[in-house]
Amino acid sequence: MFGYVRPLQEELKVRDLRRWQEDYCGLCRCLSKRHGFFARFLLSYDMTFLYSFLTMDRQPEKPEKCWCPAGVLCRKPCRRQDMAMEFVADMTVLLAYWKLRDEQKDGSFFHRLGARMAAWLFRPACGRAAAAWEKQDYRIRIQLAKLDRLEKARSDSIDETADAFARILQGFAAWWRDPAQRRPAEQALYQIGRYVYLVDALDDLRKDCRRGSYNPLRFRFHVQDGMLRPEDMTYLLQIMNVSIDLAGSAFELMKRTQRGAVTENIIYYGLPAVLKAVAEGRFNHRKKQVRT
Amino acid sequence: MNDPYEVLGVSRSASDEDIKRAYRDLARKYHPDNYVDNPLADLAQEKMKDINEAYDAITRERAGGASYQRQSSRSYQKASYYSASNHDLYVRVRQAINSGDLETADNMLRTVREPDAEWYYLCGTVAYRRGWLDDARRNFQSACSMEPGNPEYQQALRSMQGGGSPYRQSYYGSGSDCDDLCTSMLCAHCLCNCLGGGGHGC
Repeated sequence: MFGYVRPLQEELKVRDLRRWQEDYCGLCRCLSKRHGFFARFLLSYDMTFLYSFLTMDRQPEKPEKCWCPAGVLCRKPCRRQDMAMEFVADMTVLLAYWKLRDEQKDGSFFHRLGARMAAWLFRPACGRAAAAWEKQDYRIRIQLAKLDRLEKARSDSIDETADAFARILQGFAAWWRDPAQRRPAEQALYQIGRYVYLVDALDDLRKDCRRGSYNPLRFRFHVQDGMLRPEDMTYLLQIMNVSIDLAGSAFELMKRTQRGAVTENIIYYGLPAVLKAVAEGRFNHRKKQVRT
Repeated sequence: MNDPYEVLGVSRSASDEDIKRAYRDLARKYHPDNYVDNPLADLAQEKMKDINEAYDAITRERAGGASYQRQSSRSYQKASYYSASNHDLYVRVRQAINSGDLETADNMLRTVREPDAEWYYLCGTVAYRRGWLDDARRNFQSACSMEPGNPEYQQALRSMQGGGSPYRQSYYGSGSDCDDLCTSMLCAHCLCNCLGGGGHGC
Protein backbone atom coordinates (compact mmCIF):
# COMPACT_ATOMS: atom_id res chain seq x y z
CA MET A 1 0.00 0.00 0.00
CA PHE A 2 1.46 3.35 0.92
CA GLY A 3 3.67 3.19 4.01
CA TYR A 4 1.63 5.57 6.16
CA VAL A 5 0.88 3.04 8.90
CA ARG A 6 4.09 2.76 10.90
CA PRO A 7 5.24 2.92 14.51
CA LEU A 8 6.88 5.96 16.01
CA GLN A 9 10.14 4.36 16.96
CA GLU A 10 11.12 6.74 19.77
CA GLU A 11 8.06 5.68 21.70
CA LEU A 12 8.64 1.96 21.21
CA LYS A 13 10.43 -0.30 23.69
CA VAL A 14 13.52 -2.01 22.30
CA ARG A 15 11.92 -5.47 22.56
CA ASP A 16 8.82 -4.26 20.71
CA LEU A 17 10.90 -2.64 17.98
CA ARG A 18 12.76 -5.94 17.63
CA ARG A 19 9.43 -7.77 17.31
CA TRP A 20 8.31 -5.31 14.62
CA GLN A 21 11.55 -5.90 12.71
CA GLU A 22 11.12 -9.67 13.03
CA ASP A 23 7.58 -9.38 11.67
CA TYR A 24 8.86 -7.24 8.80
CA CYS A 25 11.62 -9.69 7.88
CA GLY A 26 9.36 -12.70 8.38
CA LEU A 27 6.76 -11.28 6.02
CA CYS A 28 9.46 -10.46 3.46
CA ARG A 29 10.70 -14.04 3.52
CA CYS A 30 7.16 -15.42 3.39
CA LEU A 31 6.38 -13.30 0.29
CA SER A 32 9.46 -14.69 -1.40
CA LYS A 33 8.71 -18.28 -0.40
CA ARG A 34 5.10 -18.20 -1.52
CA HIS A 35 5.22 -15.93 -4.52
CA GLY A 36 8.79 -15.76 -5.78
CA PHE A 37 11.69 -13.40 -5.26
CA PHE A 38 10.09 -10.33 -6.87
CA ALA A 39 7.16 -10.44 -4.45
CA ARG A 40 9.59 -9.14 -1.82
CA PHE A 41 9.34 -5.74 -3.51
CA LEU A 42 5.65 -5.56 -2.56
CA LEU A 43 6.52 -5.57 1.15
CA SER A 44 5.27 -2.49 2.99
CA TYR A 45 4.93 -1.13 6.50
CA ASP A 46 1.14 -1.17 6.14
CA MET A 47 1.03 -4.90 5.51
CA THR A 48 3.52 -5.53 8.32
CA PHE A 49 1.10 -3.63 10.52
CA LEU A 50 -1.70 -5.91 9.33
CA TYR A 51 0.31 -8.96 10.37
CA SER A 52 1.12 -7.46 13.79
CA PHE A 53 -2.53 -6.54 14.20
CA LEU A 54 -3.83 -10.02 13.32
CA THR A 55 -1.40 -11.72 15.72
CA MET A 56 -1.67 -9.34 18.66
CA ASP A 57 -3.55 -11.89 20.77
CA ARG A 58 -0.79 -14.52 20.49
CA GLN A 59 1.96 -15.21 22.97
CA PRO A 60 5.37 -13.82 22.05
CA GLU A 61 7.66 -16.43 20.54
CA LYS A 62 11.34 -16.80 19.73
CA PRO A 63 12.35 -15.75 16.22
CA GLU A 64 14.18 -17.87 13.66
CA LYS A 65 17.23 -16.81 11.69
CA CYS A 66 16.89 -16.20 7.99
CA TRP A 67 19.06 -15.03 5.12
CA CYS A 68 18.32 -11.59 3.88
CA PRO A 69 19.13 -10.74 0.24
CA ALA A 70 19.79 -7.11 1.23
CA GLY A 71 22.48 -8.10 3.73
CA VAL A 72 24.49 -11.00 2.38
CA LEU A 73 26.91 -11.12 5.30
CA CYS A 74 24.64 -12.34 8.04
CA ARG A 75 21.36 -13.87 8.98
CA LYS A 76 18.62 -11.85 10.59
CA PRO A 77 16.08 -12.78 13.24
CA CYS A 78 12.68 -13.17 11.63
CA ARG A 79 9.23 -14.40 12.58
CA ARG A 80 8.37 -18.01 11.84
CA GLN A 81 5.97 -18.43 8.92
CA ASP A 82 2.42 -19.13 10.02
CA MET A 83 -1.11 -19.03 8.65
CA ALA A 84 -1.61 -15.34 9.47
CA MET A 85 1.61 -14.46 7.69
CA GLU A 86 0.58 -16.45 4.63
CA PHE A 87 -2.76 -14.67 4.68
CA VAL A 88 -1.09 -11.24 4.82
CA ALA A 89 1.41 -12.20 2.10
CA ASP A 90 -1.46 -13.31 -0.15
CA MET A 91 -3.42 -10.13 0.54
CA THR A 92 -0.32 -8.07 -0.30
CA VAL A 93 -0.11 -9.76 -3.67
CA LEU A 94 -3.85 -9.45 -4.37
CA LEU A 95 -3.95 -5.74 -3.50
CA ALA A 96 -0.86 -5.02 -5.58
CA TYR A 97 -2.09 -7.01 -8.57
CA TRP A 98 -5.54 -5.43 -8.76
CA LYS A 99 -4.05 -1.97 -8.28
CA LEU A 100 -1.65 -2.62 -11.16
CA ARG A 101 -4.56 -3.80 -13.32
CA ASP A 102 -6.29 -0.56 -12.46
CA GLU A 103 -3.28 1.53 -13.41
CA GLN A 104 -3.18 -0.05 -16.85
CA LYS A 105 -6.31 1.89 -17.74
CA ASP A 106 -4.96 5.43 -17.46
CA GLY A 107 -1.77 7.43 -17.25
CA SER A 108 1.00 7.92 -19.77
CA PHE A 109 2.04 5.26 -22.27
CA PHE A 110 5.15 4.29 -20.28
CA HIS A 111 3.24 4.23 -17.03
CA ARG A 112 0.67 1.88 -18.52
CA LEU A 113 3.39 -0.27 -20.05
CA GLY A 114 5.16 -0.54 -16.68
CA ALA A 115 1.93 -1.47 -14.93
CA ARG A 116 1.17 -4.07 -17.59
CA MET A 117 4.57 -5.70 -17.25
CA ALA A 118 4.43 -5.74 -13.45
CA ALA A 119 0.90 -7.18 -13.53
CA TRP A 120 2.11 -9.89 -15.91
CA LEU A 121 4.94 -10.67 -13.50
CA PHE A 122 2.59 -11.11 -10.54
CA ARG A 123 -0.22 -12.82 -12.38
CA PRO A 124 0.63 -16.40 -11.31
CA ALA A 125 1.09 -15.21 -7.71
CA CYS A 126 -2.30 -13.52 -7.81
CA GLY A 127 -3.89 -16.71 -9.13
CA ARG A 128 -2.47 -18.69 -6.22
CA ALA A 129 -3.53 -16.12 -3.64
CA ALA A 130 -7.03 -15.82 -5.11
CA ALA A 131 -7.46 -19.59 -5.09
CA ALA A 132 -6.53 -19.70 -1.41
CA TRP A 133 -8.81 -16.81 -0.36
CA GLU A 134 -11.66 -16.61 -2.85
CA LYS A 135 -13.94 -14.44 -0.76
CA GLN A 136 -11.26 -11.88 0.02
CA ASP A 137 -10.26 -11.70 -3.64
CA TYR A 138 -13.87 -11.11 -4.68
CA ARG A 139 -14.32 -8.42 -2.04
CA ILE A 140 -11.13 -6.58 -3.01
CA ARG A 141 -12.17 -6.56 -6.67
CA ILE A 142 -15.68 -5.31 -5.87
CA GLN A 143 -14.44 -2.46 -3.69
CA LEU A 144 -11.67 -1.40 -6.07
CA ALA A 145 -14.19 -1.38 -8.94
CA LYS A 146 -16.49 0.79 -6.81
CA LEU A 147 -13.62 3.15 -6.07
CA ASP A 148 -12.80 3.32 -9.76
CA ARG A 149 -16.43 4.19 -10.59
CA LEU A 150 -16.50 6.95 -7.97
CA GLU A 151 -13.20 8.36 -9.19
CA LYS A 152 -14.41 8.38 -12.80
CA ALA A 153 -17.60 10.15 -11.72
CA ARG A 154 -15.41 12.76 -9.93
CA SER A 155 -17.21 12.17 -6.64
CA ASP A 156 -17.04 15.05 -4.16
CA SER A 157 -17.78 12.81 -1.16
CA ILE A 158 -14.65 11.96 0.79
CA ASP A 159 -16.75 9.60 2.92
CA GLU A 160 -17.96 7.52 0.01
CA THR A 161 -14.60 7.17 -1.71
CA ALA A 162 -12.76 6.46 1.54
CA ASP A 163 -15.50 3.94 2.40
CA ALA A 164 -14.69 1.80 -0.64
CA PHE A 165 -11.06 1.56 0.39
CA ALA A 166 -11.76 1.22 4.11
CA ARG A 167 -14.02 -1.77 3.47
CA ILE A 168 -11.12 -3.68 1.93
CA LEU A 169 -9.21 -3.42 5.20
CA GLN A 170 -12.33 -4.01 7.26
CA GLY A 171 -12.82 -7.33 5.50
CA PHE A 172 -9.48 -8.60 6.82
CA ALA A 173 -11.05 -8.71 10.29
CA ALA A 174 -12.85 -11.87 9.08
CA TRP A 175 -9.65 -13.53 10.25
CA TRP A 176 -11.28 -13.76 13.69
CA ARG A 177 -14.32 -15.95 14.16
CA ASP A 178 -15.11 -14.70 17.67
CA PRO A 179 -17.38 -11.63 17.34
CA ALA A 180 -15.95 -10.17 20.58
CA GLN A 181 -12.62 -9.83 18.77
CA ARG A 182 -13.89 -9.45 15.19
CA ARG A 183 -16.26 -6.53 15.75
CA PRO A 184 -13.72 -4.16 17.30
CA ALA A 185 -11.17 -5.32 14.71
CA GLU A 186 -13.60 -4.38 11.95
CA GLN A 187 -14.03 -0.88 13.33
CA ALA A 188 -10.31 -0.37 13.92
CA LEU A 189 -9.38 -1.58 10.43
CA TYR A 190 -12.18 0.42 8.81
CA GLN A 191 -11.01 3.63 10.44
CA ILE A 192 -7.37 2.91 9.64
CA GLY A 193 -8.34 2.24 6.01
CA ARG A 194 -10.19 5.54 5.93
CA TYR A 195 -7.17 7.26 7.41
CA VAL A 196 -4.82 5.73 4.82
CA TYR A 197 -7.02 6.79 1.93
CA LEU A 198 -7.41 10.37 3.16
CA VAL A 199 -3.82 10.86 4.24
CA ASP A 200 -2.73 9.60 0.83
CA ALA A 201 -5.14 12.05 -0.83
CA LEU A 202 -3.72 14.89 1.28
CA ASP A 203 -0.16 13.86 0.51
CA ASP A 204 -0.82 13.70 -3.25
CA LEU A 205 -2.97 16.82 -3.42
CA ARG A 206 -0.33 19.11 -4.92
CA LYS A 207 0.79 16.49 -7.46
CA ASP A 208 -2.79 15.65 -8.47
CA CYS A 209 -3.65 19.33 -8.93
CA ARG A 210 -0.62 19.79 -11.16
CA ARG A 211 -1.44 16.76 -13.27
CA GLY A 212 -5.19 17.26 -13.20
CA SER A 213 -5.73 13.78 -11.74
CA TYR A 214 -8.65 12.90 -9.51
CA ASN A 215 -8.35 13.64 -5.81
CA PRO A 216 -11.45 13.68 -3.58
CA LEU A 217 -10.14 16.67 -1.60
CA ARG A 218 -10.06 18.78 -4.78
CA PHE A 219 -13.79 18.35 -5.22
CA ARG A 220 -14.80 18.49 -1.59
CA PHE A 221 -12.83 21.57 -0.51
CA HIS A 222 -11.67 24.77 -2.08
CA VAL A 223 -8.11 24.09 -3.23
CA GLN A 224 -5.73 26.86 -4.28
CA ASP A 225 -2.27 26.19 -5.72
CA GLY A 226 -2.47 22.60 -4.57
CA MET A 227 -3.10 23.68 -0.97
CA LEU A 228 -6.16 23.50 1.26
CA ARG A 229 -7.30 26.70 2.96
CA PRO A 230 -6.23 26.79 6.64
CA GLU A 231 -9.83 26.38 7.87
CA ASP A 232 -10.39 23.40 5.56
CA MET A 233 -7.12 21.86 6.72
CA THR A 234 -8.17 22.26 10.37
CA TYR A 235 -11.52 20.68 9.56
CA LEU A 236 -9.93 17.74 7.74
CA LEU A 237 -7.40 17.13 10.53
CA GLN A 238 -10.17 17.17 13.10
CA ILE A 239 -12.26 14.54 11.34
CA MET A 240 -9.18 12.42 10.70
CA ASN A 241 -8.25 12.61 14.36
CA VAL A 242 -11.75 11.36 15.17
CA SER A 243 -10.96 8.38 12.90
CA ILE A 244 -7.79 7.69 14.88
CA ASP A 245 -9.75 7.98 18.15
CA LEU A 246 -12.38 5.53 16.90
CA ALA A 247 -9.65 3.09 15.86
CA GLY A 248 -8.14 3.49 19.35
CA SER A 249 -11.40 2.97 21.20
CA ALA A 250 -12.01 -0.19 19.16
CA PHE A 251 -8.46 -1.43 19.74
CA GLU A 252 -8.90 -1.05 23.50
CA LEU A 253 -11.70 -3.64 23.38
CA MET A 254 -9.53 -6.30 21.78
CA LYS A 255 -7.72 -9.10 23.57
CA ARG A 256 -3.98 -8.76 23.25
CA THR A 257 -0.69 -9.86 24.71
CA GLN A 258 2.69 -8.16 24.78
CA ARG A 259 2.66 -8.42 20.99
CA GLY A 260 -0.08 -5.78 20.88
CA ALA A 261 2.38 -3.10 21.98
CA VAL A 262 3.43 -2.29 18.40
CA THR A 263 -0.17 -1.90 17.27
CA GLU A 264 -0.82 0.34 20.26
CA ASN A 265 2.16 2.49 19.36
CA ILE A 266 1.05 2.72 15.73
CA ILE A 267 -2.48 3.83 16.59
CA TYR A 268 -1.63 6.30 19.34
CA TYR A 269 1.69 7.67 18.14
CA GLY A 270 2.45 6.55 14.58
CA LEU A 271 -0.78 7.61 12.87
CA PRO A 272 -0.95 11.11 14.46
CA ALA A 273 2.75 11.74 13.76
CA VAL A 274 2.43 10.76 10.09
CA LEU A 275 -0.76 12.83 9.72
CA LYS A 276 0.94 15.87 11.21
CA ALA A 277 3.99 15.40 9.01
CA VAL A 278 1.87 15.06 5.86
CA ALA A 279 -0.22 18.12 6.77
CA GLU A 280 2.94 20.18 7.27
CA GLY A 281 4.57 18.82 4.12
CA ARG A 282 7.33 17.07 6.06
CA PHE A 283 6.58 13.58 4.84
CA ASN A 284 9.36 12.50 2.55
CA HIS A 285 7.90 11.32 -0.74
CA ARG A 286 10.87 9.40 -1.96
CA LYS A 287 11.53 7.38 1.15
CA LYS A 288 8.11 7.90 2.73
CA GLN A 289 9.74 9.02 5.93
CA VAL A 290 8.75 11.51 8.56
CA ARG A 291 11.28 14.34 8.54
CA THR A 292 11.85 16.84 11.32
CA MET B 1 -15.43 -14.93 36.39
CA ASN B 2 -11.77 -14.27 35.47
CA ASP B 3 -9.14 -13.53 38.08
CA PRO B 4 -10.07 -10.03 39.28
CA TYR B 5 -6.40 -9.05 39.61
CA GLU B 6 -5.83 -10.03 36.01
CA VAL B 7 -8.85 -8.02 34.88
CA LEU B 8 -7.44 -4.90 36.53
CA GLY B 9 -3.92 -5.72 35.33
CA VAL B 10 -2.33 -5.60 38.80
CA SER B 11 -0.36 -8.15 40.81
CA ARG B 12 -1.78 -9.78 43.94
CA SER B 13 0.71 -7.91 46.07
CA ALA B 14 -0.38 -4.51 44.74
CA SER B 15 -1.31 -1.92 47.35
CA ASP B 16 -4.88 -0.67 47.75
CA GLU B 17 -3.78 2.62 46.26
CA ASP B 18 -2.39 0.89 43.13
CA ILE B 19 -5.59 -1.08 42.71
CA LYS B 20 -7.68 2.03 43.01
CA ARG B 21 -5.50 3.77 40.45
CA ALA B 22 -5.71 0.82 38.03
CA TYR B 23 -9.48 0.74 38.47
CA ARG B 24 -9.77 4.46 37.89
CA ASP B 25 -7.60 4.33 34.75
CA LEU B 26 -9.57 1.45 33.27
CA ALA B 27 -12.91 3.01 34.19
CA ARG B 28 -11.86 6.20 32.44
CA LYS B 29 -10.78 4.24 29.39
CA TYR B 30 -13.98 2.25 29.02
CA HIS B 31 -16.33 4.94 30.31
CA PRO B 32 -19.56 4.97 28.29
CA ASP B 33 -18.91 8.63 27.41
CA ASN B 34 -16.02 7.44 25.25
CA TYR B 35 -18.36 5.15 23.34
CA VAL B 36 -21.38 7.39 22.82
CA ASP B 37 -23.01 6.43 19.50
CA ASN B 38 -20.20 3.98 18.94
CA PRO B 39 -21.36 0.65 17.47
CA LEU B 40 -19.09 -1.07 20.00
CA ALA B 41 -20.80 0.52 23.03
CA ASP B 42 -22.16 -2.86 24.15
CA LEU B 43 -18.69 -4.41 24.26
CA ALA B 44 -17.37 -1.44 26.23
CA GLN B 45 -20.27 -1.81 28.64
CA GLU B 46 -19.43 -5.48 29.17
CA LYS B 47 -15.82 -4.57 29.81
CA MET B 48 -16.92 -1.89 32.27
CA LYS B 49 -19.06 -4.47 34.04
CA ASP B 50 -16.09 -6.86 34.34
CA ILE B 51 -13.93 -4.07 35.75
CA ASN B 52 -16.55 -3.05 38.29
CA GLU B 53 -17.05 -6.66 39.36
CA ALA B 54 -13.31 -7.26 39.64
CA TYR B 55 -12.85 -4.13 41.73
CA ASP B 56 -15.75 -5.16 43.97
CA ALA B 57 -14.35 -8.67 44.38
CA ILE B 58 -10.91 -7.38 45.37
CA THR B 59 -12.32 -4.82 47.79
CA ARG B 60 -14.52 -7.50 49.38
CA GLU B 61 -11.63 -9.92 49.62
CA ARG B 62 -9.36 -7.35 51.21
CA ALA B 63 -12.02 -6.23 53.65
CA GLY B 64 -11.93 -9.76 55.03
CA GLY B 65 -14.88 -11.17 53.17
CA ALA B 66 -17.28 -8.66 54.58
CA SER B 67 -20.02 -7.96 52.10
CA TYR B 68 -19.27 -4.64 50.58
CA GLN B 69 -21.54 -3.04 48.09
CA ARG B 70 -20.14 -0.52 45.74
CA GLN B 71 -21.92 2.76 45.93
CA SER B 72 -24.12 3.32 42.99
CA SER B 73 -22.38 6.58 42.24
CA ARG B 74 -19.32 4.65 41.15
CA SER B 75 -21.03 2.60 38.49
CA TYR B 76 -21.13 4.70 35.44
CA GLN B 77 -24.35 5.05 33.61
CA LYS B 78 -24.89 6.89 30.41
CA ALA B 79 -26.92 10.03 30.89
CA SER B 80 -29.81 10.52 28.55
CA TYR B 81 -30.20 13.86 26.93
CA TYR B 82 -32.94 12.97 24.52
CA SER B 83 -35.19 15.89 23.87
CA ALA B 84 -38.88 15.46 24.32
CA SER B 85 -39.70 15.08 20.69
CA ASN B 86 -43.24 14.11 19.86
CA HIS B 87 -42.35 13.06 16.44
CA ASP B 88 -43.14 9.33 16.20
CA LEU B 89 -40.89 8.84 13.26
CA TYR B 90 -37.84 10.17 15.09
CA VAL B 91 -38.53 7.83 17.98
CA ARG B 92 -38.59 4.91 15.58
CA VAL B 93 -35.43 6.17 13.88
CA ARG B 94 -33.67 6.33 17.25
CA GLN B 95 -34.82 2.79 18.00
CA ALA B 96 -33.48 1.58 14.65
CA ILE B 97 -30.15 3.35 15.28
CA ASN B 98 -29.85 1.83 18.74
CA SER B 99 -30.52 -1.64 17.39
CA GLY B 100 -27.82 -1.09 14.79
CA ASP B 101 -30.19 -1.14 11.82
CA LEU B 102 -28.73 1.88 10.02
CA GLU B 103 -30.28 1.04 6.67
CA THR B 104 -33.84 1.25 8.04
CA ALA B 105 -33.04 4.42 9.97
CA ASP B 106 -31.63 5.99 6.82
CA ASN B 107 -34.67 5.00 4.75
CA MET B 108 -37.05 6.43 7.36
CA LEU B 109 -35.13 9.70 7.44
CA ARG B 110 -35.35 9.98 3.66
CA THR B 111 -39.15 10.14 3.88
CA VAL B 112 -39.05 13.43 5.82
CA ARG B 113 -39.92 16.37 3.59
CA GLU B 114 -39.05 19.33 5.81
CA PRO B 115 -35.83 18.68 7.67
CA ASP B 116 -35.52 20.20 11.13
CA ALA B 117 -32.67 20.27 13.63
CA GLU B 118 -33.42 16.77 14.95
CA TRP B 119 -33.49 15.39 11.43
CA TYR B 120 -29.98 16.70 10.81
CA TYR B 121 -28.85 15.35 14.16
CA LEU B 122 -30.20 11.87 13.39
CA CYS B 123 -28.68 11.89 9.90
CA GLY B 124 -25.40 12.84 11.55
CA THR B 125 -25.71 9.98 14.02
CA VAL B 126 -26.35 7.45 11.25
CA ALA B 127 -23.30 8.76 9.35
CA TYR B 128 -21.17 8.67 12.50
CA ARG B 129 -22.11 5.09 13.17
CA ARG B 130 -21.09 4.19 9.65
CA GLY B 131 -17.78 5.93 10.15
CA TRP B 132 -18.66 8.62 7.58
CA LEU B 133 -17.25 11.44 9.65
CA ASP B 134 -17.41 14.25 7.11
CA ASP B 135 -21.16 13.74 6.59
CA ALA B 136 -21.64 13.36 10.34
CA ARG B 137 -19.86 16.60 11.14
CA ARG B 138 -21.78 18.59 8.51
CA ASN B 139 -25.11 17.29 9.78
CA PHE B 140 -24.26 18.00 13.42
CA GLN B 141 -23.24 21.51 12.41
CA SER B 142 -26.57 22.09 10.67
CA ALA B 143 -28.46 20.75 13.71
CA CYS B 144 -26.54 23.06 16.04
CA SER B 145 -27.04 26.14 13.90
CA MET B 146 -30.79 25.47 13.71
CA GLU B 147 -31.14 24.82 17.42
CA PRO B 148 -28.10 26.26 19.21
CA GLY B 149 -29.39 25.61 22.75
CA ASN B 150 -29.72 21.85 22.47
CA PRO B 151 -27.10 20.09 24.64
CA GLU B 152 -27.43 16.78 22.78
CA TYR B 153 -26.54 18.31 19.41
CA GLN B 154 -23.75 20.36 20.90
CA GLN B 155 -22.25 17.34 22.60
CA ALA B 156 -22.28 15.48 19.28
CA LEU B 157 -20.58 18.36 17.48
CA ARG B 158 -18.01 18.77 20.25
CA SER B 159 -17.06 15.11 20.00
CA MET B 160 -16.31 15.69 16.30
CA GLN B 161 -14.24 18.79 16.91
CA GLY B 162 -12.24 17.56 19.85
CA GLY B 163 -9.69 15.38 18.09
CA GLY B 164 -7.28 13.68 20.46
CA SER B 165 -8.52 10.81 22.52
CA PRO B 166 -10.13 11.68 25.85
CA TYR B 167 -8.23 9.01 27.74
CA ARG B 168 -4.97 8.80 25.95
CA GLN B 169 -2.47 11.54 25.28
CA SER B 170 -1.65 11.24 21.61
CA TYR B 171 1.73 12.20 20.32
CA TYR B 172 1.58 15.39 18.31
CA GLY B 173 5.26 16.14 18.59
CA SER B 174 7.55 17.41 15.92
CA GLY B 175 7.75 14.13 14.05
CA SER B 176 10.88 12.11 13.75
CA ASP B 177 13.36 10.41 11.53
CA CYS B 178 11.91 6.94 11.30
CA ASP B 179 14.81 5.11 9.73
CA ASP B 180 13.98 2.95 6.80
CA LEU B 181 14.14 -0.64 7.98
CA CYS B 182 15.57 -2.06 4.82
CA THR B 183 18.53 0.29 4.60
CA SER B 184 19.80 1.61 7.88
CA MET B 185 18.73 -1.39 9.91
CA LEU B 186 20.23 -3.78 7.44
CA CYS B 187 23.51 -1.92 7.22
CA ALA B 188 24.06 -0.70 10.75
CA HIS B 189 22.35 -3.42 12.76
CA CYS B 190 23.72 -6.22 10.67
CA LEU B 191 27.26 -4.89 10.47
CA CYS B 192 27.39 -4.11 14.16
CA ASN B 193 26.25 -7.59 14.97
CA CYS B 194 28.70 -9.19 12.61
CA LEU B 195 31.53 -7.23 14.15
CA GLY B 196 30.98 -8.85 17.48
CA GLY B 197 27.73 -7.31 18.65
CA GLY B 198 25.18 -8.79 21.02
CA GLY B 199 23.21 -12.01 20.94
CA HIS B 200 21.81 -11.39 17.49
CA GLY B 201 25.14 -11.71 15.69
CA CYS B 202 25.66 -14.01 12.76
